[in-house]
Amino acid sequence: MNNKKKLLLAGLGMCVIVLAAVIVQSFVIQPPTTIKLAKLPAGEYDPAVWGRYYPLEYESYKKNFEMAPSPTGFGGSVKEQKSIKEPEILMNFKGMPFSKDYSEDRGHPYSLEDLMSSERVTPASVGSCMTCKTPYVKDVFKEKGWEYAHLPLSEVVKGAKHPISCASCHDPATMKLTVVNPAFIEAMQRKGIDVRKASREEMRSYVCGQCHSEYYFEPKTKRVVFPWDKGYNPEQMYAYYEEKPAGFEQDWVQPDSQAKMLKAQHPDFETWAGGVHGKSGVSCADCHMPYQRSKGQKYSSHHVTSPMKNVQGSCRTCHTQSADWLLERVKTEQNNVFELQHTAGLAVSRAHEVIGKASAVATADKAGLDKARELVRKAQWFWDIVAAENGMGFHNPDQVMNTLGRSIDMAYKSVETANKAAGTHY
Amino acid sequence: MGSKDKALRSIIKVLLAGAFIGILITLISVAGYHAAGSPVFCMSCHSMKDVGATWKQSQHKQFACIECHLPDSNIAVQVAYKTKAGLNDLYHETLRAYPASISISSEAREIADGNCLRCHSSTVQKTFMVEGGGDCIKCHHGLVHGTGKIAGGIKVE
Repeated sequence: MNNKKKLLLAGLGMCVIVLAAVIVQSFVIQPPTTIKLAKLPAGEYDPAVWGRYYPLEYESYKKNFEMAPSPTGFGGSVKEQKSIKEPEILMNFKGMPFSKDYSEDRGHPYSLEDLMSSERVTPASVGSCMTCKTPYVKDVFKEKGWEYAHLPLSEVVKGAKHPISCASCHDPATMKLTVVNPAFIEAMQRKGIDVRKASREEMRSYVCGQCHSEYYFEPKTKRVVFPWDKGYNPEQMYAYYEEKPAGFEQDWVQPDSQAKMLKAQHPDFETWAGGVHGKSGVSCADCHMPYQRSKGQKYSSHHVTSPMKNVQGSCRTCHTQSADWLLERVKTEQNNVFELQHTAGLAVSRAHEVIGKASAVATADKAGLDKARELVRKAQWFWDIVAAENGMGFHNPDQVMNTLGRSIDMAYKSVETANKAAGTHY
Repeated sequence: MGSKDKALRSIIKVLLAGAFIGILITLISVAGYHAAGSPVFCMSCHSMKDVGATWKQSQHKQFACIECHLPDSNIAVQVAYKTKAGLNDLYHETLRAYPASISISSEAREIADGNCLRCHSSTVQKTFMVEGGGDCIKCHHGLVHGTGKIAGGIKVE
């Protein structure tokens, strides 16, 4: 063979090898389409151990350590005091711990750390504060039932070694979705829903809803209760509280107005449930845990954060507009909600102030002042149930706008009523 | 036998062999082209599994992928497009460089729109939808491939 022939043969050989490699890679070797089950023992709460068997999910979970703002400017996972942007918080929560420390939440891996370092937590804090911060609550509840709720937090939390992680939502033996918060299971039971029989699609929201919900501590037992017996919307939850369930009347008394106040807690699940996405069967996980691929293998992202950090994966699965267009749309909605939320918060602050001043008038009509206090209590509930929510209205924009509009109206009615009672013009 | 005859026979032999090879190549190409147009072939790529699964549940499952995704044009245009799209697919499939949910490009959208009209033009041709230069998929985007969600999710075994 001469050199020319050899070169030709070598070239041909290379082509065949490359072609064979491409064919093998594309048509023979295929990335796995299923996840291999590792049966972990009950009580295994260390996410790193789970990570050995579910590496893609664990790698994405670790991204929850990241502290980054949301591209819309609202939410995100940077720990900063909300009162910087919304100073009305200081007035409206005067006399209770949320006026001392009320920051944007960081990711799930920080749940225990941020609980224990919060200014709101004191030696008087009770075990129920731990309910949503660690999967270990499953063991505690099994052993003690709701007894743990009124024990000192500092004592109960000792056994909690891991923050919100794999076991908060997954059964270690089957990997099926599961809920660990007994308050959620009980609240659903009262609504006639057996969570154990829920479909996978429902569970993709229930696992989030078990904590991203409004709740209160029952006065005597300190157990966690969700106020859902009448429904999920702000009016229905308020009506539930008006009946003073188990003697629960208020979270605290605002010192200026002397009004008996309620503190709303992150009603993400309730807000979503009545919104267009919730009503259309789009689950929390669909947007907050979109599918991703690694070397072709599909897996759910466990980086649970603002979907606006990944519009492509979160929104564009259904929505055909460009990622920029979608982001702009969400920004517009959230800006609108924030403006009105701020307006409502300030109106409520003014009501507290005016009631305080009116109360100083010796001849003021007591019944009239009480009416004003009742109005500011409700006005603040309608503001707070929106302000405490994590989506800046996105989870249900029209309901949120309605709620804020009513808050503003009630706040000014409260001002008017107080002035009328005292004959003042504040 | 004269040398003239010999030469003639050689020529006939060469011609016959050429014709045979020609027919063989044509048959293989046509068969290959047809095979490569079957949904089974399209779905043999990992990246196409999800769109394949949604198509199988759709109201258009009786139509092959290429009936919507190849240009409604002559064979030359179709072969050229298929070569281009095929190379693009092969590149991304080999490198596993494809997103979790695939969305249609603007070129592919125009092609699919054209194929909608291939069957449905009599229904819509006198309406604003076509006269305004409409885009069928803009409204009917969930028709064949749904919302891109697979019921049941990723299985754990």
